[in-house]
Amino acid sequence: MPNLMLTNYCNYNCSYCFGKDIMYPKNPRLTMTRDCFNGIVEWVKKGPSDRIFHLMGGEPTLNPDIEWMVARLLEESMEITVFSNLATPRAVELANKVADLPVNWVVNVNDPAHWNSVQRKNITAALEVLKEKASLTFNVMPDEDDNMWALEYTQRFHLNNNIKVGFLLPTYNQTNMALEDDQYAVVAAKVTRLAQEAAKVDVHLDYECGIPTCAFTDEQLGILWRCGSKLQSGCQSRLDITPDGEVIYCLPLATLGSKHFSEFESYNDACIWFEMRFAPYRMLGRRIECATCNLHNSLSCNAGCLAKNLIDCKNVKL
Amino acid sequence: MANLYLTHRCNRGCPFCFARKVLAQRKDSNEILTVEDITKLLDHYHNGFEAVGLLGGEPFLYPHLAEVINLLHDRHIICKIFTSATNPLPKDVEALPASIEYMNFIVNVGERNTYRDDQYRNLELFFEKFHEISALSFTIFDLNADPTFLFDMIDKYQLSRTIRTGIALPIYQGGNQYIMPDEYKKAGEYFIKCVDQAAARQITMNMDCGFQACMFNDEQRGHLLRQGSQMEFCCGSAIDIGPGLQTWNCFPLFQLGYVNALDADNENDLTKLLQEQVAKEIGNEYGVRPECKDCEFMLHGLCQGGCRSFKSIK
Repeated sequence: MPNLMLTNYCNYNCSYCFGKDIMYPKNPRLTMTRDCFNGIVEWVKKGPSDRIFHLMGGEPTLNPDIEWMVARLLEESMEITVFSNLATPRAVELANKVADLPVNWVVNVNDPAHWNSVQRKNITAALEVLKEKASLTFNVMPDEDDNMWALEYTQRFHLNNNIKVGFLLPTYNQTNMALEDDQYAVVAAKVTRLAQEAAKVDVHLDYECGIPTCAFTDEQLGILWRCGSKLQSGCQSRLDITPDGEVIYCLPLATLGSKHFSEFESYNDACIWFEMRFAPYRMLGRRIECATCNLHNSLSCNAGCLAKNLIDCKNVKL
Repeated sequence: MANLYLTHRCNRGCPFCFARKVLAQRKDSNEILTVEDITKLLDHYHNGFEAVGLLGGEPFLYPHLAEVINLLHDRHIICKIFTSATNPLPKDVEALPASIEYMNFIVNVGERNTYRDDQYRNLELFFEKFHEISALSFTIFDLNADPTFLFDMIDKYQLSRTIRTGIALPIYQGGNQYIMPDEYKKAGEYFIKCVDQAAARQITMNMDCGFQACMFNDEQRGHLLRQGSQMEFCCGSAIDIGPGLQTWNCFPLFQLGYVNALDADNENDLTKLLQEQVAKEIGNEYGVRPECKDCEFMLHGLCQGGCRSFKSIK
């Protein structure tokens, strides 16, 4: 099922955000309406797919109707995950209201050293009530010390013991800050160290899409496996739907093309439409070695982020 | 998954075969798993098996093979046949569609010098007919053996590009030849060499049960992941159901006790019954090395500590 962007507005302005191409202020501020939301729910119900909805943004708690939308999905017995930075007063309010309901939260955070006092107050207040329903996710930066704060927060607030880490991915238009090629190994080493420390406190790492296996050495891959944090190298996510109902493949590739959800018979049809159009480009890989790589050829590794791999391709059309 | 052990008859006699003791004890027996018993089994379990393996002995020496394949197909059960494919293919099996919906084959192969000419010819004829639904299975036994023949076979006949790799395991209290525990690190190095040669030809080698995580270091395990090998360090296979619906845990542990397949109501309960039977003899604990009990791989569920039939080896 899709990721619904409830708004393209965010209370943060992270330099690395790969949603920049369709976010405010580069684009007009948009908020998903109840009508649009209802239309998408009915459209998704028409086709066979899982019953999981991801609510994201921007910062989804900045949509004034989010509480109504959560209630609507619960009525339909859908599984809900909210992707939020928890730094808004509205996030704290919503967290308190739905803490006992089957709603999971994926909390996008930066290093707490960068939080201001208001952000700190809101985030910690929300984490205190969400506990194991919240799991942390963040990008591992090449130039920051370590990420041990994530383990500390997971333990202190009794959060879900799976932490999701990501690499900084570029948008196709390169409008954000992303990893340079020579920084992949640096970040891979940091991820490995974090996995080792995490294993000591029974915390495990999951991975955002776009991480190529070849960023890691054999030894690092072995260590990740031993720590119960086996690397999954994928570049294939649920489709995103923008606040005005446009289906996009993912945020980094958002400007390559979109179609309104009502133009597809079902969510599955939309997935097939995008996959068929991107399939030829997937074979490009990231490096020359991908052509003979067993992992790439068996689709166990998608050679990292497709947006990164397409940057040098001109005139990509869907 | 359940394996149906169709017949005691086999024409190969591999020294590492872990059915060797059963086969030796009953080689003159005409006992087979009857179609009536298989029908009774499937009825009893309401066809509740997702997949069924057909093995022996040698399934091609079982007189009702096509009938059983059709029976399983009619009940929408995926059928995997473990064979050496060195006997003439039964005519009624040859007439079946070479379709994954009907069946697929795991073909246990060895080097050319382990076959008589007529056996090898039969194997080649089989591959010509059923290459699209056949994958190779190879047992690590001779740590100096050159695996190139496997990759040549795959390329020549356009077989599946995934090889199921076993490691020669002991039968409980002996009866076959196997890799000794102190050779496991060497066997690990050998496996990696094979995997690298395979990967160079875009072929993947996966592990069957009995491998141990400590055969490899971090770097080697990472290397296997990079080459696309599915790393599984488990002790546990499908249950085996033989003539008279006599059921045992697996071939290496077959003499630790039987139950009747109809004594349980579902596959999970049958597995539990068998595990209890085995536990009476060798306990509940997994791990065959003294160091297994404190091993982080065991504690975190990453390894089951090798084949438990080693517990009888002093």
